[in-house]
Amino acid sequence: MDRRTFIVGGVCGLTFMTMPTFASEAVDPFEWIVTLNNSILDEIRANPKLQAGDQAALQELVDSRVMSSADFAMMTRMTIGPKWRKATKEERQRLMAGFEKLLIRVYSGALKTITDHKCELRPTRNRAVKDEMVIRTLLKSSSSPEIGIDFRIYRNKLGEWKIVDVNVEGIWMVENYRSQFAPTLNAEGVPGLIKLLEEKSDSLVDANDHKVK
Amino acid sequence: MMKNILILTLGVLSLGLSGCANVPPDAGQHPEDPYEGFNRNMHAFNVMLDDVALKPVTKGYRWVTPQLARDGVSNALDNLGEVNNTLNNVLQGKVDKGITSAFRFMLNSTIGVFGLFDVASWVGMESAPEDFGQTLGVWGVSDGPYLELPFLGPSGARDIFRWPVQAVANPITYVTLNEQGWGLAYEAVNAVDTRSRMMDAGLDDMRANVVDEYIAIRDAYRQSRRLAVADGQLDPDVQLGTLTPLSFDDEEEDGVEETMMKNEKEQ
Repeated sequence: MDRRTFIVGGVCGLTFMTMPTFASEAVDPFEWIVTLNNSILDEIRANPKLQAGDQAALQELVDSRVMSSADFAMMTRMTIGPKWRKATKEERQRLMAGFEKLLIRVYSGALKTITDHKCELRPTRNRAVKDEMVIRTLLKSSSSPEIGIDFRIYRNKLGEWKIVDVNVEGIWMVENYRSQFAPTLNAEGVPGLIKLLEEKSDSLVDANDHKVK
Repeated sequence: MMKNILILTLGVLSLGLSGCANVPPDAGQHPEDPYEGFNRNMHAFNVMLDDVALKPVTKGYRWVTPQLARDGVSNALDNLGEVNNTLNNVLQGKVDKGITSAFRFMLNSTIGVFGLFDVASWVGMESAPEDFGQTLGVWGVSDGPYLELPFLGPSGARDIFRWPVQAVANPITYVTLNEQGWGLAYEAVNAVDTRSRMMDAGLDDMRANVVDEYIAIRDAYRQSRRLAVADGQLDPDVQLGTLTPLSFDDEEEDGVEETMMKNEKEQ
């Protein structure tokens, strides 16, 4: 090993060593969730395209803000269960793409109802920080009843908080899709589920095209 | 009225409904859903009924009535449920909320013009809806097997008991005791109002994004009922214990990186 590689490696190592400690000590997960949600809500209100259902704008928001706060590979893996281990790299990619499209559509429907909503923490006695936790929030607005939204988060190996599931009014999204995927996975395996997800997304694209015309 | 429903249901069933629904080969393996085959057929029946009757009628209703009128109808129907709320709050030991429910009923039925206006909320008396299924849950009765009922939709062995208690505690039951026609009319308005609220809540958008609607609704029902029994106060740590564990065990792609990092940390 020559000296330069060693130095570069050392620098990288140092960054890795400092980053996790910095992240885990500085970021309060409660505050992180509330700030994240409110800044995304601000962004939605500032961009009329998003509420009009503009797909490109939505994709950009998802790519820039939502995906970086979530561990999407983990979310997909959780919906697939043990069969994920045997899936090929290409199959995993297609599963993730299909699942992402599904979630983006759910998300896009929810965006249309956003008005002056604000995310607040639900009062909680226990504020102990653990590596995996549920953060409970309320989405409040002046015009509609408050909506309970909980976030399941965990601290990854870089010490960053990542969202792995979202609970809206008592219903966990990833858990719900996990159950929905199970019959197809049991009967037709991973290829069957990929086919189902891709057909689903094609049929919805067709339905949307039809609506526009 | 129940007799009519029963006859209609049996009629539809005898038309050979079973077999309509797509029942997967692993049906009934879910520990909470041993009657999945039956339930899926009931679900197919309910969806069919919704497509041909309830949804179109509700759309028409929403088209001819302004939001204000629909809110009035929802309020009036909710108001009729306050007796049931009073009863169940008390049965669950929440006497204060029971009293509030009783006062809400009196206030809204009089000043609120037969419940059209939720005056009680304006003066800070918030509604506390509870049904007998939740009461049984609070008493420690577990959910029991999941059941999808014709017309009534998602339910369970325990929650089935909410319907008779609800009927007994509803003033309309006594008003229409000898007027079967009006009883049916009430049920129809109730059904359309419920469906209309589901539209407001975005149910139809959500239905478009599911891959297995039956399971999506089943799991959503089970989870939201558990939350309702706990009055929305599920402990986050207890909740975590019921969820699918995170799995880190197969990261062969970045496994090398991981080991490197680990070594560097240790140094």
